[in-house]
Amino acid sequence: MEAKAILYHSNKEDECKKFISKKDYLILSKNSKDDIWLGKGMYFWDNRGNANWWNQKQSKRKPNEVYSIAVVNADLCELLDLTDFDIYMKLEELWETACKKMKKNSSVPLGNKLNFFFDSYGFETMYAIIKVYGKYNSTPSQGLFKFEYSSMRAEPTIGVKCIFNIRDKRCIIEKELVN
Amino acid sequence: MDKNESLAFLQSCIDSINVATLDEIALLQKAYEINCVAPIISSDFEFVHPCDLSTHLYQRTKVVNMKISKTDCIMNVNEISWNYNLEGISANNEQSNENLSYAA
Repeated sequence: MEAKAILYHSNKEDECKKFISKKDYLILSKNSKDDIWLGKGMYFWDNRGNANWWNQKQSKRKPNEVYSIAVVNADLCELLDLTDFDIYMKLEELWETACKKMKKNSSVPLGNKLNFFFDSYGFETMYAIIKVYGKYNSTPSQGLFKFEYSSMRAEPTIGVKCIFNIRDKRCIIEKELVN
Repeated sequence: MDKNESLAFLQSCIDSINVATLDEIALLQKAYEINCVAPIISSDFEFVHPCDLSTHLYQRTKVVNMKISKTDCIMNVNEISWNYNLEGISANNEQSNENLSYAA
């Protein structure tokens, strides 16, 4: 079986159009906050609702700009899955081993660690896309099911958002603009 | 690549670093310096000058009432009462939904 996912990216309209029209173009984020996320790459949401939410926030922040949403069908065969606990722990073991060997401080943000791995361990040949869950504790819990952010109880929540980072265009099967 | 292949690859990375030569470690150190020390270039960072803080929404985060009795005073003052209103501390540095994932 081949795993695939429909993913959404919100950005300035001209950037989205360029991404769709150019075969090799990725909208690489250069945001300073990427160091706490997944480092270099093009970021995607895994559902339209989160993409719309982000699109509205972008439009509100820069009302003079026009924002659009691009959608891709992505191949997940080369996925670095940071939502899988075993992968998450094995990467920590690799990071700590590397830092100990290099005699370097291991307390750096996730995005920096990932950039390091992709630059130095051949990750770019093994992985084209990264997946993580983001914690969004101010998402209202007023919908179909209720939950408590402070509770230790396992229960349904909508206070997390799934985020993908495409590091290499080879995982993109098809792409188009969302109407 | 399935999960087992991914785990096997990561283990091979761990194994290779355990037997890395000094030259290989030097290359890793160089990659570390590039990716983990130098700041990522930003095109979207919004710097808020202190004098502009009043234009940003911030909350009172804590009120500390301090009293120093005369026995604690070095100077000859009967009693000093300080009332600090610590407002807006880290208001623009907090991690909230407002500053998460600016990229997707």
